[in-house]
Amino acid sequence: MELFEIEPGLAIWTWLSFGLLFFILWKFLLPSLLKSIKDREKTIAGAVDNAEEIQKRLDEIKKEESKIIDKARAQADKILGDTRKEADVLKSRLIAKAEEEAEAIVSRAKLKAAEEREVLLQALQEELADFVCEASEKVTGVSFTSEKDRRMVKEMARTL
Amino acid sequence: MKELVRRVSVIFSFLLFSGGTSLFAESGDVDISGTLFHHILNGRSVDLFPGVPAVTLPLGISVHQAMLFVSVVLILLLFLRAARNKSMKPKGVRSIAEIMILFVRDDIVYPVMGKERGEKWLSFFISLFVFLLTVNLIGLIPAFKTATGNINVTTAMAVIVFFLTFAVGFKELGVPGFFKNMYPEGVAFPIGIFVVLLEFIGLFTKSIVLSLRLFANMFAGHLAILSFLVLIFVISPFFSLVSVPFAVFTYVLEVLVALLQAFVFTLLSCIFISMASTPEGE
Repeated sequence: MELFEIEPGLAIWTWLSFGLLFFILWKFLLPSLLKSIKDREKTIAGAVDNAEEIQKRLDEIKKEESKIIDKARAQADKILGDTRKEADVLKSRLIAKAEEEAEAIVSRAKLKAAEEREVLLQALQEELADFVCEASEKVTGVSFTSEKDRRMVKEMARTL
Repeated sequence: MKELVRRVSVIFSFLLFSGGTSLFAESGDVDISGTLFHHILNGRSVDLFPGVPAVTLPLGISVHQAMLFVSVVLILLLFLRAARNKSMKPKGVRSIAEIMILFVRDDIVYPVMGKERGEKWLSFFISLFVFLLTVNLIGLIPAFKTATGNINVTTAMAVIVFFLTFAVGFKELGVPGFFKNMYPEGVAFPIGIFVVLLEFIGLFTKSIVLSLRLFANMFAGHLAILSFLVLIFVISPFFSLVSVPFAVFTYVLEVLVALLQAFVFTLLSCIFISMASTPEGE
């Protein structure tokens, strides 16, 4: 055989071989292979889309979560602030009330003390008047038992 | 793993060396070029092993015809087995088939033709690529021959592409449109006619080059491997220490060339067919 020998038989054989191969592959074998590749790519693409969708949803949820947390935090801060304000108001109100009550108690006590003092003083004056009358009676021998005398002695004791 | 590689290398070297010795096993009278061409060019008999008489093929078929037949059978077996495997996770033969399909689809057809048009042509280009790749690679098996190292085979393949270029161009653009498509816009009349003429000649030369490129690459690769082995007998048996490693290196290179040439042929065919059916400016 020569290097550039023309072999029409071989050329025809080539066409027949390739033609037969192409026909069988195109008609019977490649469609199922190409379909399964396409199906797999679709499945993969679907899974990737799904994953992306899930990721997106996850991001949204995270955003929502952070929003909710921020909102809750703000609300908590507000509640805390309000509570603090209310507590301050209540505290000052209670303090004022307590002060008022204390003042009232003190003034009542003062009043009562004054009253007590007055009573004691009166008792003391009467005691003193009795004592003076008794002492004068013993010294002078004159009885100072009348109401008039006692009143006079009391008046004198008051001026002391 | 290293042990396996070592063993494969030893067996491989032995096969190459024995292939070399078989070159001259027939007679003591050395006709170098004749022996070289005998082992590369088409013939009616196959030299299986050194010392074993050549086997003449039945029914008068040539070795290259047998190689084409064996290639087709191998491809069909591979794809038949791949098509049977319906698993979502490709394994073994199925993954080999899918790698080739996806390579042709994603690196050749879709980038050149686009997805919509490419889908119609996908089966053809997959067949073309797989056919050329198998025929190219099968010749690397000892005792086998590369049918694409025969100009008749590569020309036959180029003729298919050539006629498809015209057929698709005529179908998509119409006969006048096909020739009008060659006329560049904004070019004066006489020059335009000249350009159309050049483009028309180009259609033929492209196909001729397509055929010659594949033939020359495959033929030259095998010639280089055998030439290295022949040097052992021409220079000295000790030259095998240099020749065999070089032959092995060229052999490995040939695997790459086989893949590359199948890719180039398919890619250019795809471009030619696509260009012929695409209106100017698109």
